[in-house]
Amino acid sequence: MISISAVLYSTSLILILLGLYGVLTRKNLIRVVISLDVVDLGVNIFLVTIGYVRDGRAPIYLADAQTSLADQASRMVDPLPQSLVLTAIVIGFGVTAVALTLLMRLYERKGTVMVSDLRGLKW
Amino acid sequence: MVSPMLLIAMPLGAAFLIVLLGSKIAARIVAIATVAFLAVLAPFWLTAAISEPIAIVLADVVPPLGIAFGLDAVSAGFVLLIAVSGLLVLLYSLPYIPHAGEFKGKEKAEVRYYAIFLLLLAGAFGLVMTKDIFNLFVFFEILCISSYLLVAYSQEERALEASFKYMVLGSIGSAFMLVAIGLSYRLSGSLAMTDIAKALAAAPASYSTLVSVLFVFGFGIEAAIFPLNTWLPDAHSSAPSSISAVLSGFVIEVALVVLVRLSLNIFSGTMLLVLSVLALAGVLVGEMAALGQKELKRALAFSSIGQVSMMLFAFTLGSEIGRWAGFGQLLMHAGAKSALFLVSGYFIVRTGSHEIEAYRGLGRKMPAASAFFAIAALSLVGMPPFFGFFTKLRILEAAAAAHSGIGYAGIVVILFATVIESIYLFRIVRTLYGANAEAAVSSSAGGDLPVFAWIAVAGFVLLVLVGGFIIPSFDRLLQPMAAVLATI
Repeated sequence: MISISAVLYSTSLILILLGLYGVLTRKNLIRVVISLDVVDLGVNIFLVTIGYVRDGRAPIYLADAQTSLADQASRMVDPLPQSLVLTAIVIGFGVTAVALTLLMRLYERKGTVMVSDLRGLKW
Repeated sequence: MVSPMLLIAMPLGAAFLIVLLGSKIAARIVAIATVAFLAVLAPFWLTAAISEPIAIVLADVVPPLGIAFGLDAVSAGFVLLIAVSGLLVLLYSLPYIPHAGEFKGKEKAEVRYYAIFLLLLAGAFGLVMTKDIFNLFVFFEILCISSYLLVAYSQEERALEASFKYMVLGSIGSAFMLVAIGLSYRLSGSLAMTDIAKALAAAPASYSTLVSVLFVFGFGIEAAIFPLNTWLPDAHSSAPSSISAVLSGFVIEVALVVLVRLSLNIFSGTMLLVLSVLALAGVLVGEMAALGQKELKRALAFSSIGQVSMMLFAFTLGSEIGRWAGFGQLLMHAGAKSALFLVSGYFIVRTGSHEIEAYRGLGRKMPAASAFFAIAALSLVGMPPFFGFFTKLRILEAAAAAHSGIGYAGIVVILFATVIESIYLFRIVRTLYGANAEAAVSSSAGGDLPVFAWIAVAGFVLLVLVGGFIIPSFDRLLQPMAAVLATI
C-alpha cells in the first residue's frame, strides 16, 4: 500500500517541477509570478510532510488519556516544520506582493507584461 | 558589553520608526545616527570576538532548544565592514538620492529609501551572525527582498525589469534552499548548524550531496557563482549607484562567505572542487564580458563577477592561507568597487548618460572624482603601490602553495584576467583624461562631487590607498577570520 507521506512527497515534487516549468516557459510575467507561487506551494507541502505522522495528533500531552505519555509522544506530529511553513508562507506572500507591484509599475510605463516586449537588458 | 543583538534590533526598529515619522530630514538623521552608533561599537565587538567568540541564545529553554546567534571573528569582521560601508554609503546618499530616478526629491520615496536601506543592513547583520539554518533563510530573504526594492528604486523601466529578473531568480533560489533546509531537518531533527553538520557527516553520501547541491544552487544565485549570475549585471547597473556600491561591496560577499562556510563545515567540503572550477569559469566570463561593455556601470558589474569569483577560488583552495588571501581580496574589493560605483553615480548625474564615451574629458571638469576613480581602478587591477597588488599577489601565492592542478590553472586564469581587467579599466581612465574631445557636460551641471559624497568616496579610496602599507595590521584581523571560517 502506498503511504500517505509518499503521496505527499511526490505531490510536492510534481508541484515544484510544474512551477519551474511555468517560470521557464510562460511569456506573460503575471503567469511567471503565479508559477513561482506554485513552486512555493510545493516546497511548503514538502516541509509539512516532514513532520507528518500516521494517525498523528496535536503535540499536547493529555493527563486524563488512557495511553501512556511515551505512547502519546510517539504519535505526535512534529510542530516545528509547521511553524517553518507559516514563516515561509509569510515570506512568499511578501515576495509575491513585491513582484506584482513591480509588474504594475512596469505596465504603467510600457503597457505590457509580456516578456517578448521587454528587451531592455541583455547579457 | 552591549549585546550584539542590537545589530539586528536597532536597524529594524529604526526602519519602522523612519516610516512612522515620515519626514525626509528625520529619516536621514535616524538612519545615519543608527548606523554610526553600530559602526562605533563594531570595533569593540571585533576585538572581543577575536579573543573569544560571543554566543547568544534567544528564547533559551534547554540546550538544543532556543535560537542561536554568535559573533566570532568572521561575523564580527563582516559586521565592521558592513557598518562602515553602510555609514559611508548613507553619507553619499544624502546629496545623491534626490537626483536618483524619476522622483527628483519626492519626500515619501526618500523616506522609504532610508527605511529599506536599514532593513538591508539588518538582514546582512543577521545573515552573518545566525547559527540556525532556518534563521539563515529568514535573514537571507530580508536581505533579498530589500535589495529587490532598492534595485527598483528609480522606477525607470530598466530598473523595474532588472529587479523583476533578480526577483524571479532569487525566489527560485530560496525555494531550493528551503528544500535543502527541509532535507537537513528531516535527517537531523534540528535546525542548529552544528547538529546538521554531525548528522550529514553520518548520512549516506548521496543524501548529503543532494542537500549540498540544492543549497549551493539556492545560495549561489545571491552569491553570483558563475552560471547563476545572469541577474547581476542588470541589477547592479540599473540600481541607484549608492545601492550598486552596497550590493557589489558587501551583499554578494556576505552570501559568498556564508556559502563557503556552510560548504566547508556542514557539507564537509564535498562541493569544494566544483566550486573552484565554477570560480575560475566565473573569473574568465566576468572579465571577458566586462571588456565588451559600453556602459560604465555594466562594465563594473561584470568586473564584480570576476572579482567575486577570484575570492571564491581563494576560499575553495582548502588551505588557511587561501582563505586568508580571499578575505584580503574581499576587503580590497569592498573599498575599490564601492568607490568606483559611487563615483560613476555622479558621472551619470552630471552627464545624464550611462555610456563611457560620454565621460570623455571629465578629468578636467571633475578632477577629484576622476582622481578617485583612477586610484580605485588601479587598485582593482593590482598596480603595485595599491592594496589590490598585495591581495592579488597573496591569492597567487596561495594557489601556488596548493600544489594542485586547479591551483596552477587558477594562476594562469587570474593573470590572464588581470590583463583583461587592465585593458578595460585603463581604457575608461584614459577616456576620462582624454584630451581630444570636448566633454559632454552641460554648462548648467554643477562641478565636482558634493562634500558628503566626497567624504564617502574618499573613505573608500583611503582603504585602497593605504591598505598595502598597513597590511600587517589588517593581517591581525584577517588571519583569525581565515582560521575561524573553517569552523562553525
